[in-house]
Amino acid sequence: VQKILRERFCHHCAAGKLFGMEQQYRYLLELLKRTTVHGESNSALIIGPRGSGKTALLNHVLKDLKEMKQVTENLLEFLMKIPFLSGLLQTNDKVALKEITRQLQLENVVGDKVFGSFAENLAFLLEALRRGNRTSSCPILFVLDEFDLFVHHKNQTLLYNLFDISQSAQTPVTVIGLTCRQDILELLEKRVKSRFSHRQIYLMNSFDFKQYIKIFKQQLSLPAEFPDESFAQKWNNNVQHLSEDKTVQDVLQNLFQHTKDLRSLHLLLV
Amino acid sequence: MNTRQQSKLIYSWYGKPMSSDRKLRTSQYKGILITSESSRTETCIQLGDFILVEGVNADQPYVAQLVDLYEDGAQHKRAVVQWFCRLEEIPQNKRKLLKREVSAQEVFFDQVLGYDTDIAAETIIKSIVVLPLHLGEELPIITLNKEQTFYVKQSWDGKCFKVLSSDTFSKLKEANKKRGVITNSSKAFVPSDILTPVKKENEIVVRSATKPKNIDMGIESKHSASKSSLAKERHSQRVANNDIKTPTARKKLELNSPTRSKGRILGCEVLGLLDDDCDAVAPLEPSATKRKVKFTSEISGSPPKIPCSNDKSKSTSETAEPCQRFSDTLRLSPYTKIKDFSEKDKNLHGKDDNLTSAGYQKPSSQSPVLTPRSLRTCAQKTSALIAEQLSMLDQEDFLSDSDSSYSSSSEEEEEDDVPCTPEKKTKSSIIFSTPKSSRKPAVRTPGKTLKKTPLPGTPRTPRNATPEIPRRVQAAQEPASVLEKARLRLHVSAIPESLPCREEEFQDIYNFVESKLIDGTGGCMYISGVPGTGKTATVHEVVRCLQQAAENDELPPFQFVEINGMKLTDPHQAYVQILEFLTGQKVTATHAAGLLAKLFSTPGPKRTTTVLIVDELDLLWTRKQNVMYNLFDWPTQKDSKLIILAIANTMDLPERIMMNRVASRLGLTRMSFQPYTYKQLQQIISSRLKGVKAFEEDAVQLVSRKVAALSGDARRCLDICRRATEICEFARQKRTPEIVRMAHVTEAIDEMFSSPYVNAIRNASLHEQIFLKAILAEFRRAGVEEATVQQVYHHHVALCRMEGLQSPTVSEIMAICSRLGACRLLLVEASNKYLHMRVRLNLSQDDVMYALREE
Repeated sequence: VQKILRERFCHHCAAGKLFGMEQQYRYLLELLKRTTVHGESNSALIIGPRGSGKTALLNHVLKDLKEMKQVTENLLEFLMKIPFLSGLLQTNDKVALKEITRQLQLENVVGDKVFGSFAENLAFLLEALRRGNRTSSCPILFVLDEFDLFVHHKNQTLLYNLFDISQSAQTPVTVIGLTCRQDILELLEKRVKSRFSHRQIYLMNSFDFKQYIKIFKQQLSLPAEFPDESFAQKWNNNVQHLSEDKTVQDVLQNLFQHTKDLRSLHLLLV
Repeated sequence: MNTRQQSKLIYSWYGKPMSSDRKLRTSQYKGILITSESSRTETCIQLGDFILVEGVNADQPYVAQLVDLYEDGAQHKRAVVQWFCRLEEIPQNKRKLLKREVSAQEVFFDQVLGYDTDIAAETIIKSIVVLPLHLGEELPIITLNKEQTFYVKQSWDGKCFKVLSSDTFSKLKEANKKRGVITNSSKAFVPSDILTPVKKENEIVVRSATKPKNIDMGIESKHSASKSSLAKERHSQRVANNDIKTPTARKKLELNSPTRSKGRILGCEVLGLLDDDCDAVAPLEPSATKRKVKFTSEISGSPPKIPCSNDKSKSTSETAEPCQRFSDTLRLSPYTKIKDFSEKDKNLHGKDDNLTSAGYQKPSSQSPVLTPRSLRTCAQKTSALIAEQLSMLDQEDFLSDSDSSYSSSSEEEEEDDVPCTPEKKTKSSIIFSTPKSSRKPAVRTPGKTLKKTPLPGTPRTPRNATPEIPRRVQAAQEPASVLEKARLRLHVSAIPESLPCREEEFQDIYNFVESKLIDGTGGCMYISGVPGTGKTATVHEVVRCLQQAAENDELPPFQFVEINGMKLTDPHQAYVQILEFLTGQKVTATHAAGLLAKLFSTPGPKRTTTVLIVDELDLLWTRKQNVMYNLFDWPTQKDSKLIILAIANTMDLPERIMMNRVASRLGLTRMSFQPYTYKQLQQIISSRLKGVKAFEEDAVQLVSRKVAALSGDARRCLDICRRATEICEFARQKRTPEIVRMAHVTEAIDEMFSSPYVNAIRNASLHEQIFLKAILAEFRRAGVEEATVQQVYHHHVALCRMEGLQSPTVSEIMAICSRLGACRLLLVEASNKYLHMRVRLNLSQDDVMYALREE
């Protein structure tokens, strides 16, 4: 029991369920499906306060997308490449570029390292992406975590180039940025902004207290496939009682009034 | 570079003027004498000779036949030539008309009319041999002067290849015959034959090296000798890529020389000279590989024999008995090579297998391409710079015709050089006791080069990695429904057949470039406009049309180069990219700038016009503005034939950020792209959607009006439409065919333009909302749009009491504050001031009020 719950609370990204973001989920899924199936280039931003489940949403969509391809149609072998960049790790364009090249496993990668100057690398990557076209190259998904930090790079070269590729007839590319800043669009340079497709997905944590209690219960209760069935039932009943308890509700109410962040709920439960 | 300047050439007429025209003050001559200052050698080129002429690309001189020589009124020496063109000069798409493989040594009799046949005599490099052949004929086995012999089988007139007419064929034959006679006579006339001085000097070197007494003098003579031998080979040097590389290699030597012992200098000089010597001999040899092999055998000969083995090789090559000597080398080389490799085994463990196999392979196969790459890399490590220097020096004689042959030959030479170095190392222990042998200095060179080797451990990026994204397994699905088709067409990347609403601009730019192309002059044009108004698209369309016209021979051919300021990491990289586009060379930025300046400022006889598009010009700005200055200075040069189309966002960029001298060079040819009006946007959408009934008429109009009011950005417009189709598809649950209506478009617009703040505030937690309220109250109280957390906290507690809530602790308040700050609803200072941290709203108070009142 401990193991399951701890896993659920500590590795929240792996936790199975999404709350109150079905619409955004469908939107993102559609978007990525079009990229993979039709080879359409796109760009989107996922904006929401900290702990609103941006990364969880994306991981979910990607997981489902993979399953869908493999199980249902087998139409397209899931070849999407996902370079995952984080603004906290890739502090400038040079590092980011090397990371992209490394993750894409292009031909100038020696072992696990990328050599050559910044200019060479940029030219190489652009050339590589230019070679492709909509129908034959496999689509690439760029995920930029902490997107707001990429904005501060010099000239926004990386963003310009990524968006430019997504707006031109080259290798199909989808750029997805994750950020918590609401004013992100104003930070983009006008040329970069013009190339961005202005698709924004907002995550808001727009649930009220009743839903909050429900989430609380869901997080604590054991899944149906738990080996010891009677124990699971007993546990779940206890959880039900707990959620109806006055003091517990007060504590939760207090927390809810302070923050709607689900991560803090997890922290409390641990 | 200094060596080149020292070996300056003097061009003088040979003989008396044959005829002169008083009126035009021109006089004609039958030959020209090229004198090299430092080596005091003269070569004579006469009418009818085949010559190499300096070209745009340093390693590809033009081939021509000298038709006339004259001096014009201004005392300039001019020459009239009949051009031959190489395969590389023929456009790619026409090459397949040939339907056969063409060797690098083959040229075509050029009958294209456009080229200027009147050139400056100073651009002549040297004389060569061009042999006419019949079409079916195989290339004869080349026995001598491989690099200087070309073959002509067909003629090229810009459209198709033709067999040489019997007339021209016989003429060419005759010219060849005549040439033979002339060269003989010129040999008699010019006492110093090309080959001899090198040998003489070389002998001096060898001798001086044997006598320690003369070492100083020896070095002197060696310097001059190497220079003069370089000068001798200047014709080839100027031609080949080494033009760039050799001087630097030399420079390196000179730079390093003060720190190193004289013996070492001697060493490399001797090696260089040995090599030069080989080169001087080389023209008589059958092929480069053989030559190199022989070189190896020479070195591996016993020390006291060296001078005579030099002589011997000379004599053998002069008697031209390649077969015998080759067998000789074959007999020698496997032994030495295997020895080398076994020696190397000690140094490099575990590589013995492929090394020895390579060792066996080499003498037999003679195709260095087959040898494993590992051999080459380790070869580079061990022999490192010396090998490079040697190969570079070798290259001087190598009129490499194409880049590919250049690289392959250098590779081959590098590999062939490998065995020498360890060989010398092994020798070093033996020969060290015999200080008088001329080998000794050479023996020490490997040590020096090893020292110089730059970090042998670092693996280099594979040079010929092809940039490519892996292919997808299944083909992308084709759009099925109407909406999907519409979406595909609405994607910004979809290339429309025409650019509606930009006809006028298109025509202006087209006319500008066309007129410059026809005149063969240069010029600049500055194009400005806000993002998404079709600047780049229009310019690309213009270039496409021009290319089409050039292909149909309505316009002179031109080269098209594009750089984008945003795609450069540094403004100076612009030079590198332009040069790479033009010639395919990869050099550093400063070097590229020099080469480009040279390229655009010197008259090239066969150079075509270059159209250069500079996108996002403002990013090429540097503090000294030298990049922009150079870019706009080149078109003003007389012979540049460069047309620049500069694109940027701001209309007043020249006035705002450019210095006067840059702005004045940019000129006044400007054009600005106005933002699209709603009618134009409507037209753009409907032209893209032609034939696909997916949008309501009103919906299109709504989108275009909305966008035109905001920015006039066509990209935005297309994006909204695309999003609207998605919403429409999403909303349509049943399988009823649907077209995009007003409602969908409105939703898309709202999604894209609505401010997220209000929504964010409404979904914030209760205490966050109270905190915002407290801020508002504090602002109202103080009358300033800024407050410290402490002040806000008092209000917050008061508000909580009013609402009957538990008041939060200070640290909770700080947490709330930082959360709002992260979302940028609030602007907060750095948090080290704790409660005295100042906060400010990032949106207007009214917005906050509006968002909070609804509750």
